[in-house]
Amino acid sequence: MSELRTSAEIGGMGHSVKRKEDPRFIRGKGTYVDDIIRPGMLYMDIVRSPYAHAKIKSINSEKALAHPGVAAVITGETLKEYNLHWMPTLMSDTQMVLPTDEVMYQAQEVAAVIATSRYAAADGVELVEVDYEPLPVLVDPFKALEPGAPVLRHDKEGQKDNLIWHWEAGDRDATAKAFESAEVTIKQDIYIPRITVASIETCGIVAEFDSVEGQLTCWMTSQAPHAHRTVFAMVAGHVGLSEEKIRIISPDLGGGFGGKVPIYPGYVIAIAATVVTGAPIKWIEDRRENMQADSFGRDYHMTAELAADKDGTMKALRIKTIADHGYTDAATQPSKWPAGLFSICTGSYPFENAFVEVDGVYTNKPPGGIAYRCSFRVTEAVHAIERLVDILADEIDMDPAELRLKNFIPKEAFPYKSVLGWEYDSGDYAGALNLAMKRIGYADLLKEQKEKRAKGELMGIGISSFTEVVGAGNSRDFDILGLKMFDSAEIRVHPTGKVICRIGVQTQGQGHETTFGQIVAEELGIPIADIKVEHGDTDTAPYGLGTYASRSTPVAGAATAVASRKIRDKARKIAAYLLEVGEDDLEWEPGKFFVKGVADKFKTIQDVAFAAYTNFPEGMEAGLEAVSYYDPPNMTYPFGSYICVVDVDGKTGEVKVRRFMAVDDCGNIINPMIVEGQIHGGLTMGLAPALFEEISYDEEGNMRGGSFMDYLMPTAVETPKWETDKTTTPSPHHPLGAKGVGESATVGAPAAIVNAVVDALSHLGVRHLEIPMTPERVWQAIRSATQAGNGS
Amino acid sequence: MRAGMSKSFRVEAPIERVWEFMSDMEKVIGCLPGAEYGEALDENRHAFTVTIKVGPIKTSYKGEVTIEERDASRHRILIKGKGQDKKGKGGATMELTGELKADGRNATVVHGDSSLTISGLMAQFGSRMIQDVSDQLFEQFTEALRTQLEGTDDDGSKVGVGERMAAVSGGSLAAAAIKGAVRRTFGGAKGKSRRGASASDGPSPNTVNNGD
Repeated sequence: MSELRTSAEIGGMGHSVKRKEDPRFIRGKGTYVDDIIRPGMLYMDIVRSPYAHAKIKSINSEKALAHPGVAAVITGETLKEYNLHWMPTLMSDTQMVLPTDEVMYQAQEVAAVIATSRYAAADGVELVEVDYEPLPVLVDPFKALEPGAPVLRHDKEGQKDNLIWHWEAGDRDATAKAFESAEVTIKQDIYIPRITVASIETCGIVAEFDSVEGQLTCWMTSQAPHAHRTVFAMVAGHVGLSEEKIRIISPDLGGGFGGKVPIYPGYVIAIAATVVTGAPIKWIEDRRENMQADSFGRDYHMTAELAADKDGTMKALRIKTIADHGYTDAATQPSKWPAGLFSICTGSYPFENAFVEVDGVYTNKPPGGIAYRCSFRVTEAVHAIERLVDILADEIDMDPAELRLKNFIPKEAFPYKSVLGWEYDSGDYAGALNLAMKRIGYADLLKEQKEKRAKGELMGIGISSFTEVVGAGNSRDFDILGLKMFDSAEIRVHPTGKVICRIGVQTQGQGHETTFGQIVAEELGIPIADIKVEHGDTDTAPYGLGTYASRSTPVAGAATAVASRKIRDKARKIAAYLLEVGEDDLEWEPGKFFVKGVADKFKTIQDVAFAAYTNFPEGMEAGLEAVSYYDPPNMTYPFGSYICVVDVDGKTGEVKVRRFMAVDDCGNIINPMIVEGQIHGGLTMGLAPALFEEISYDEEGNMRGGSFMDYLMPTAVETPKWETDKTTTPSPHHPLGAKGVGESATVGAPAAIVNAVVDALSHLGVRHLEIPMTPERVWQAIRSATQAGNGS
Repeated sequence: MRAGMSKSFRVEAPIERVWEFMSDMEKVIGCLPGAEYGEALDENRHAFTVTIKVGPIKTSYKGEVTIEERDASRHRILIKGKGQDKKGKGGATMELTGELKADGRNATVVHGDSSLTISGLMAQFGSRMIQDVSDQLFEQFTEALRTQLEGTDDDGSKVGVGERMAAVSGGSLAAAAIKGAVRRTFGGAKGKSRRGASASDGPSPNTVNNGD
């Protein structure tokens, strides 16, 4: 959408309206969970396992209980009395809340100390004596799958190995045949390591139980308050917590990125503690707990293959993946496919044949897998295909841009049905890549690279032309424990023409209070300043499934548009009544209805709002409000082309991102400034795993990277200047033509950076690099390539 | 995490005297910096505690060592140890093989092979320094052993080495370890002894540890 339909004062779609939430943040007036203080509140801290796998021989709380201020020590045995020591995961697996006899990963919750201050609770944690007997540890998913490996989940009936599930998509035989007859085939092992979102605010809860009313109120760091309420009611219904008596309030959140979707044991323990003690309980993770125990992202071991003709025409794709899920499958992705949306891996190319298979595996590591702006495994899929394309380009000695342009699904082919079953709504892949090449000066860069190579300097150019799939979901394919993935908006226009809009999704920094207001402004012509957006309180907001996987605009955004249009329909009836004409005689422009051809005979939306309460037609109900629960007909498919230019120091292996040009297409844009902010943040979170971040484990299951001492999150210093541009290809099925953008950049960027660094070293014989591309790893690659070169 | 070590050192003392000393767990533990002998649980099992500080992490392990094998004819001894942090923050296991060879009548070459496995907080935060710290511990251990065996008479066993060595400065250990790591990285050491490294000529431990 290129033109603005509303004035700056109204501030509808396309206006860079300043964020309505920012004044309170920049004045320090935001309210986060840790800002909540309740009378008589007690504090909780958690004893965590130092072992990745151990038997708990005993837990001695005596010394802790004797410590001043310590009120209680909760163990698995305590919870067992209420049958609360286990809980279901959102993937229908099971998870310990607190163990009674065995710990399964380092940093697992072992006991909780309740005390009168945060400090006393921490002191109490130090005094709880746990006697462990270490057990054999499985950290390598390949070893976990070997016959004879110890079965980790012996608590699960019928579980005879460490395989959680096997999932496949596509035609195995046809794909094998295509590979056999292909002129060119390439194959690459790719590992996408574990990373953690490390949002600025850690997770936490203030749980308060009113024993007289039986009412539980939780202020908690939740990206999905309604879904969490329902799960709590399902898990704790037997102890008297029924859903109407549970209220979850998700206040301001300091980042989520998927890390605040799971239900962590800490929440459940705090709720049990408030029910048992009758006092409000506050639990706030410290940074180490947040990094070590919370839901991680990635950990995918992929073997990716591509078959093509000699001229570069791509024919078939095959990927086999071992997915390390840790101790339990708590991946918090709501699709009906266990590997999420991984089968989008055919990307921007019209493969005739493709086959993917994924084995989910249990190991002695924390559970998770779906976090870090990943769009439910699209990041892994994009990384695989965009690496393969570059390897193919290298194999057939073709320019990677040319190879992409040759193969892209053409824009006339949309809606396009992929061989693995996705129906891409719209796209213009060549348009985005051509713009990116033009903006960055691709031809000049190639020339410069040639000159630099002649001088022995290492410079690389990398492309990633990704296709995203976001907006979960349609109810056919997406649910959380049976809850369908629709989303909602409830809009009320007050007599004076002001609006409250309540939504079922939950902002964590995305700026919903602004953008959802802009949707209402666009549809009703009411100034953005007059629109209040609320969310996050299950007692007031309509039921929704929350914000993650870039779904807010595609789903709740659509609901907001639909509800606004319902209001406009009623407003038209009232306007016709007031103007004494037929509805069909009216024309709408944002903010007013006027009689066709008579510009000065009109009623503003504010006039109509007042009339809706004071002077409405006979037989019509009073008021001006509407609700929509929107079940999207399809996903949306944002896309983009990123080009990265790097300089590599051959002596130290250090990679410097010199330029990064990101062309995104997320359909029609609600707020360009916010979209650009999303892209900047997303690119930085794409740079991070490409160059810096990794969580690994040693053989004993000790986590490496469990603090900022080892986990290298980039700061502004390490982050290059991002250059952005856009093309606009509206979604044909979304009421606003919008697509969602929160994760595109994180999904698309890593492959571009890897492709650039590999390109810088390709003339030495380097064909692939694993991430993070640390100086050591790059230096080693240069060294072994150089040595191999000298030896031959 | 795991750290391994294989080292030899020479003691100016006859082999039988060294062997006798090495077979006495109370004396051997007494030479280990930060360690304190507890009690004999039976002939081959002994309780002890050891306190180690690596960067921000101070850990007191409580555990036991077992003499798994003692071959007087070959002067070979195999010791296994395991310990748990007193505050439940982790644990460690150790396996040590010691072998003595006479080097003339009045000197002995002691060869030690050890492997160390560490779990918990120490492994998380100290992983990059553990190897160097264990090297350092070994250096201090051999030094204490020499002090005990060299230049003293038969009553050398009476010296309270354990007490003297108990107060190991975490700072100096860490600094020496950093120095070791720096040397290793830039290839200057080539297996030279790291004896003599001290806190004063190494960088402050606080330059790498931000959590103390």
